[in-house]
Amino acid sequence: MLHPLRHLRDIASRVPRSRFEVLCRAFFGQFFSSETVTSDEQLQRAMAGVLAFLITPALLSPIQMAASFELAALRFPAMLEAMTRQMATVYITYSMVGVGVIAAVMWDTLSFDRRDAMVLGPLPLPASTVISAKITALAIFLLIVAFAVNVITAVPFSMVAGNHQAAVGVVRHFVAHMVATMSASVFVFCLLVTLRAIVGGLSGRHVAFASLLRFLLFSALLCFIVFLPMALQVEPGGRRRQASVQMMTIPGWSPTNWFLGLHEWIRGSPGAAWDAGARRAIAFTVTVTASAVLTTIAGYRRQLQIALAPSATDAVRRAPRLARAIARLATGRSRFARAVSDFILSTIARNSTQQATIAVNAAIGLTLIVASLLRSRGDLTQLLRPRTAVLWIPLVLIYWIAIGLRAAFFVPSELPAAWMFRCNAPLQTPAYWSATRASAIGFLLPLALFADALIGPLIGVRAAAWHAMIVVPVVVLLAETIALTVDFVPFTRPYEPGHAKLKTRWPFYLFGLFAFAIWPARAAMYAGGRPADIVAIAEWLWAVAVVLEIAGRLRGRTWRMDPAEEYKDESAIAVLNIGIVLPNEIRP
Amino acid sequence: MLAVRRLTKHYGALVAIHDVSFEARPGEVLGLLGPNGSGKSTTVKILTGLLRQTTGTVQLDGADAFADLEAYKRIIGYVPEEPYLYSYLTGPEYLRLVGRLRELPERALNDKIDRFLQLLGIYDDRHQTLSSYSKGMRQKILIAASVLHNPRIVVLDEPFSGLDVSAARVLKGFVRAIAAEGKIVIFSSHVLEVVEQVCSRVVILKDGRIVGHDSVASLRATLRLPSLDAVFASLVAEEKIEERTNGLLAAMKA
Repeated sequence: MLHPLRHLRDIASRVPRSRFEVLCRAFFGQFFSSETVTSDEQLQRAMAGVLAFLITPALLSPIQMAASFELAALRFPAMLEAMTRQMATVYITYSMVGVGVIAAVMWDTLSFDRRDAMVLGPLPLPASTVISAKITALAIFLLIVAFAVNVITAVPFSMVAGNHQAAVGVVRHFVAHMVATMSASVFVFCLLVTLRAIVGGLSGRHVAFASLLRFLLFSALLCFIVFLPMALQVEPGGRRRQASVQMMTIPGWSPTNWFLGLHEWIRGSPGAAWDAGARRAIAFTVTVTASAVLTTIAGYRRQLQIALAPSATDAVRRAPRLARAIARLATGRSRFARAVSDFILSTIARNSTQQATIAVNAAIGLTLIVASLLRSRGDLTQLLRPRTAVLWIPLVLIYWIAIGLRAAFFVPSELPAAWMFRCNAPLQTPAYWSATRASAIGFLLPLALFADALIGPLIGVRAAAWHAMIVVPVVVLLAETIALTVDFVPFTRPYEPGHAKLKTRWPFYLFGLFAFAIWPARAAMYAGGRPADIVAIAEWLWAVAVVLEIAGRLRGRTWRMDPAEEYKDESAIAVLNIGIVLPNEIRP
Repeated sequence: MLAVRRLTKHYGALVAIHDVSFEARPGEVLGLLGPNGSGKSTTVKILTGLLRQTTGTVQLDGADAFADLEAYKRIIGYVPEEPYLYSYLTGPEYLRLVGRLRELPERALNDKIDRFLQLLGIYDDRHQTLSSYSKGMRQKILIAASVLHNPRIVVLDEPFSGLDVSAARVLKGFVRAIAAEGKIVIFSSHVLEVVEQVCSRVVILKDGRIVGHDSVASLRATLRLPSLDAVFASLVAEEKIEERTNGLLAAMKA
C-alpha cells in the first residue's frame, strides 16, 4: 500500500495533466510567492515566523486551560458544561482570528487582479476553467490552513473536555470542535474573499482597505493572545478566600456564538438557543461561501473589463493632501526635499507592503491600549477623566505607528526603479534627511491629532485640545528620531532580513515606549489640565526636538544615495580560486 | 566633446568591455551597436555615471567628466533600456518627481510636463498609474523625463522600444533635432535601420571591443557593402545564419 505522504508528494511533483491543474497550481503558488523578498529562503523564513506566531498560542493555551479545567472539575463539577463551552468559545475565536489574519496577509491573492486578467485573458482558456481553478486553489489553501490551525487545539480540547466521559465522548468533542472551528474558519475566509473581490472590482482604495483590515485582524489576534489567560480563571480558594471560577463573557451579537451553537448542537447539548445558533452558523457559512464564489466569478469578468478598457473612474487617488501639505511646511524652501517627501508619502499611500508593516505595528499599540483600558474591568466612569491609561492613547498608538513607519522605510518599493534617483538626484545632500523627517511628520501628525480627538469624548474636548499641545511635540520628536536612525532614501535599498533585530533591540523599543508614550502621558497627568504646566512640558519637549533637529542637520550632511549598488552585483560573483595558473593570453 | 579613452570594465573575472575609445561630438548622434553581451549597456551605464569603469577615462571638454559627478549628472539625460519606473505613480507625478529632483522651477516644470504629455499623446492618461501604461507609453515617459532639464548630453538606450510607428517617426526627428541644437547624443540600439536613419557616426562593439568606428557612409564605402545591416553582419561575423534559421524552423515544426 502506498504511504499517504508519499502519495501526496507524488501528486505534487508529477507533471500536471490538464489546463485546470496547471492553473490551479499556479494560483496556489501565488499564495506562497512575494515580490518584496528577494529569495525563497527569505520568504520561507518569513512564513515560518508568521506560522510560529499563530500556532504558539494554540499550543500553549490547552496546557494552561487544561490545568484550570481539571481543578474546576474537582471543585465545581456543576460548572463543567459551562467551562467546556468557554473553552470551545476560545478556540472558535482563535480559529476565526487566526484564519482571518492569514487571509489578510494573503489579501492580494484572494481574488483576481488586473495582472491575472492581462496574462490569462489572451490565452485560449474558457473563463470557467480559470475561475474554477482559482476557486479550487482557494479551497485547498483554506482547508490546509484551517485544518492546521484547528487540529492543534481539537486534540487537546477533546482529551480534556471528554476526560470525564467515555471514549465516545472524546470522539464527539473532537468532531464538534473540528466542525465548529472549521465552519468558523470557512465563514471568515469566505467573507474576506468576498470583500476582496468587491473592493478590488469596485474601488480603487483596496490597498488602504487591506491595510485597515490587517490592522484590525492583527489587533484582534494580539488582543486574543493577551486576554487568553483571563478567559478561564479558577481560584482554588483556601481558609480565607472562597474558591471561584471567572469566565470572560462574549457579547450575544458575536458570530462566535453561532458557531458555539453548532458546537453544542453536535455535542448534543439540549437547548433551543443552541439549535438556533447552529442554524444561523450553517446558514451564514453557506451564504458567505456562495457569495465568495459569485464575487470571484464577477471579479474575473470585472478585471478583464478593467484590463481591456481602463475606465476614467479607475484613476489613481491623490496621495494624502494633508500629509503632503504638512511635509511641505516641514521641508522649508528646499524643492528637492519636497520632491523626495512627496515620493515617500505617495509610496506609503499606494503600496500595501509598506502599509502592512505600519498596520502590524499599529496593532501592537491598539492591543496595549485595549489591555490598559480593560484593567478598569468595565468601569467606564474611571475612563471619563484624565488618567494615564486614557492620555497615553494617542501617544502609544502614534509611537507604534512610528515604529512601523521606520520599518516600512526599509522595505523596498520597485527596487530597479531606484536608478532614477541615482541618475537624476545628487548623491549626497541633507535634503534626503530633511525629506525623511518631513514625511514622517506629515504622516504621523494627522493620525496623532485624530487619535487625540478620539479621547475628546472621554476627557472632554478642552482637555483633549490641551493634550494636543503635548502630542504634537512628541510626534516631532518621533520624526526627528526616525530621521536620525535612517541614512538613505526610504524604499530604495534592498531589504535586509531581520534588520529590526527584535531579539537584541527590544529594550530600545521598550525604552521608546516609556520615552514617547508613558512618561509624556504621566507628565500630562502631573500637569492636571493646568495650561501653564502643559505649556511648560511642551516647551521641554520642543527643546529636546530642537536638539535632535540640530543633530539631524549635522548628520544629514553625510546622507547619500548609494551610488555603488551596481558594484554589489560584482561582489555577488564568487570566484573560487582552485590554484590553476592561467596562461597570460586567457587571463582576464 | 565627450571622449571615452581606453575604457575597461571587469565584473569579477568577466571582462564586459576592453580598451574602448571613441568620441561623441556636439551636433551629432553617435550610434552604439553590437549584439547581445557586446558591452553596449555597460558602456552606456558608465557614460551616465551609474557604473564606474575599472580603468580608462571619460572626458568632457578635456577634463575628467566624473571628477564632479553631480555636475556631470546635471547635464546628462538618460533613457534606460529597461523601463523601470515607480509604477504606482501617474505619468505627471513621475515627471514632476524627476523635474523636482533636478530642481526645475515649478511653474515651468508643470508647463513642460503638460506640453510633453500632449505632444506625446498621453495627456488623456495622465490620471492613470504607470502600471496601467503600455510599454510604448512608459517609453514616452522615460524619454520626456530624460530631456525635461534640457540636458547637454543625451544617452538613449533602445529609446524607441515599444513605440508605435508615428511616435517613433516623431521621436527620430526629435533626436536629430536635439543633436542639431548642438547637444551630444549617444544612441544605443539593435535596430540597424533606425541607427542608419538617426546616427551620424557609429561605434560597433563585439565581445566588449570596438570592431568598427566611423560614419555610416564611410563604413559602407570602406567595406563596399550596401547597407549598415550588411556592414554590421560583416563586422560582428554573424555566421551560419541560414543554418540557424532552418534549425529554428525545424524546431518549431517538431
